[in-house]
Amino acid sequence: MHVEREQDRIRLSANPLEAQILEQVLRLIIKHYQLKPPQLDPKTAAAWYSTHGCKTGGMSEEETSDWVESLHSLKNAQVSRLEEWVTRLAARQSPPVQLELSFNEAASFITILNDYRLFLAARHDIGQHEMDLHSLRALQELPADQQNAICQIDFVGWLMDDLLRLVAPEASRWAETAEE
Amino acid sequence: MAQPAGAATKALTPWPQLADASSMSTEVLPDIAEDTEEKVKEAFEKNWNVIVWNDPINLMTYVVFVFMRVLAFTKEKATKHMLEVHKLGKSVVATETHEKAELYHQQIQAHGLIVTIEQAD
Repeated sequence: MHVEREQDRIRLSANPLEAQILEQVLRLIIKHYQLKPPQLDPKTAAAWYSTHGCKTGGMSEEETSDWVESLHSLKNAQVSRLEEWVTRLAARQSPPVQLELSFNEAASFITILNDYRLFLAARHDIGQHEMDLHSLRALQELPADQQNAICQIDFVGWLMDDLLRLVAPEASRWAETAEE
Repeated sequence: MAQPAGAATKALTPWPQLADASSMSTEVLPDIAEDTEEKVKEAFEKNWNVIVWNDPINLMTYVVFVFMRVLAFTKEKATKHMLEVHKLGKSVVATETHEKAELYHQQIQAHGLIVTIEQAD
């Protein structure tokens, strides 16, 4: 997959397989963004709608419920835009399959991709240990679903890094600051 | 409002006599004033910490991006707090009024970071 900037637009170019993977990612997100938090499986709900901060912030049960609903509204508001992107990816004429985003859309797209990573990690119990694996052998010792999840988390992470390089170049160069 | 034609004129009920202001009891007023003043002071007091916690999934670059976007940090400040989260497990990214802290809480969590708010010591 290749990302490039053309004036104030971000263009994502994918081969048919990459486009299908991305389409699958977005379809899953659409499905889960539409579900109200109590309808989600507990692991996804905890990853996306944790209320721990509401407790430490002294919110009442009613305030917490409103807060969660508000967070859900933010996600649900992305659905129509997601459906447009899926349509464009599914159109798949001749490769490369291209998706063009405005700068603002690209920023939202990055957060949506991040939500997918969090979803996978929660669903498949991917924690620090699994994310710190440094050998293929160690990866292959994990159950198949975890291996698949880690590969997808990494793939989507690389795409996020590529997009951040163009959308938020300063953030992307944070390591330069750390070296100073 | 105009009276309907032909309506009998009723004797008006006299307004109740107002008490002389100087003789009115003022016991209730200072408590209310004090209570309101306390609440206003509390609302404007910047004594709520916004704390971001480490997690194994969020990319470091993404965390810097979120800090710059939501909290309007410079790259340097965002990097400093991101590295605190990464190395120390958490970072107090803002100390604000309760209302603003709640806003940051929601915006940061909407970006997928683990965040809590609590009253500062």
